Amino acid sequence: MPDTLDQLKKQWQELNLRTTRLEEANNELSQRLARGHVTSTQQRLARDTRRWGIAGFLLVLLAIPLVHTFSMPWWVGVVYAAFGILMAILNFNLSAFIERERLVDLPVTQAYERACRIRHRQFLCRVTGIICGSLVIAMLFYYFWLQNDIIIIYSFAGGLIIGLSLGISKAYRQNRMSRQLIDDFKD
Amino acid sequence: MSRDKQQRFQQIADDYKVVIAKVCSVYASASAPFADLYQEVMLNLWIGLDSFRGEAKVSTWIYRLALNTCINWHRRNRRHQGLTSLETGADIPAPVDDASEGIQELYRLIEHLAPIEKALITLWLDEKPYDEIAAILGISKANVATKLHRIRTRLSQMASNL
Repeated sequence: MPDTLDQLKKQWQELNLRTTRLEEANNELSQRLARGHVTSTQQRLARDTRRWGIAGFLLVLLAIPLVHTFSMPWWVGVVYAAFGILMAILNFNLSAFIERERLVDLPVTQAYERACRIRHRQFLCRVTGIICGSLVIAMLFYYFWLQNDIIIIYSFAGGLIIGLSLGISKAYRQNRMSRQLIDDFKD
Repeated sequence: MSRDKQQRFQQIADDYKVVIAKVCSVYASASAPFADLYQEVMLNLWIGLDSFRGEAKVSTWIYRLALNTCINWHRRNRRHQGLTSLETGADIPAPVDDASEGIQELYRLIEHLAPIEKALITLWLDEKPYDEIAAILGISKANVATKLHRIRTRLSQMASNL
């Protein structure tokens, strides 16, 4: 004769677990976790985004030799630096936003909603970067074209291809991570 | 910093080991062994410790974390990509192996439920009030009551058919 649910509930509450081994396991796990660099997808995504922010600041530094060494007009340097600052601000802001969201301990429905919000902001940041970046590239290309120096144009095109390849592979990685965040909570 | 975190982790892990073990034992199966679930919960506890600001009760936070981990484990079971693999090699036996016939029967019944239903019934078994269950699972109190009523009716029918 099966027990009723309420009887089973009572038995569940009176259940004495053998916890000695668990305490040993907790001790062992805490030591291993303290030793290793354990990161979640969310933390890795925030770290990756922060790196993009640092790259933005590097563009600001690159604007100086553009004007001084390559004798480009000052407005080219200003536009280049402004793009770098914009990308740095957007990415640092996004990175802080990702870090603030506590996906691991939110109820599943809320965690899913927050993960979607992270992906949406990541998308907006990327679209802004692509639009502004394209304008800067077009501007530089136009300037080099006016110089009528085939070596500079080829160097620029080479740099552009390398930069785009790196950027696309990085963006793909970030996209995969934010997709994984959503998949973790998707019903 | 890391030592302080380790102490906090150890303290919470020891204080709530029974809660975590009970949740993991409900979700444990052949494809999701108890030891793996327990370690994954501990891993998330370690990661989540930095961001826990004490806005919710520790017990609520632990339940959420343990249930989220176990539910997510089931969702991605086929193509499991843990947050970060933790090669502990720790052999953690399920602490309820020699449980009474009644408890074994309860596990057999719960096994038939969907992951979110398992979460609800686990919290009900632990006598959590409806508003706390609602806070843990992020659903309304009315929804908790409705769902729990359905699940209990189903379990009772299943128990009487055994």
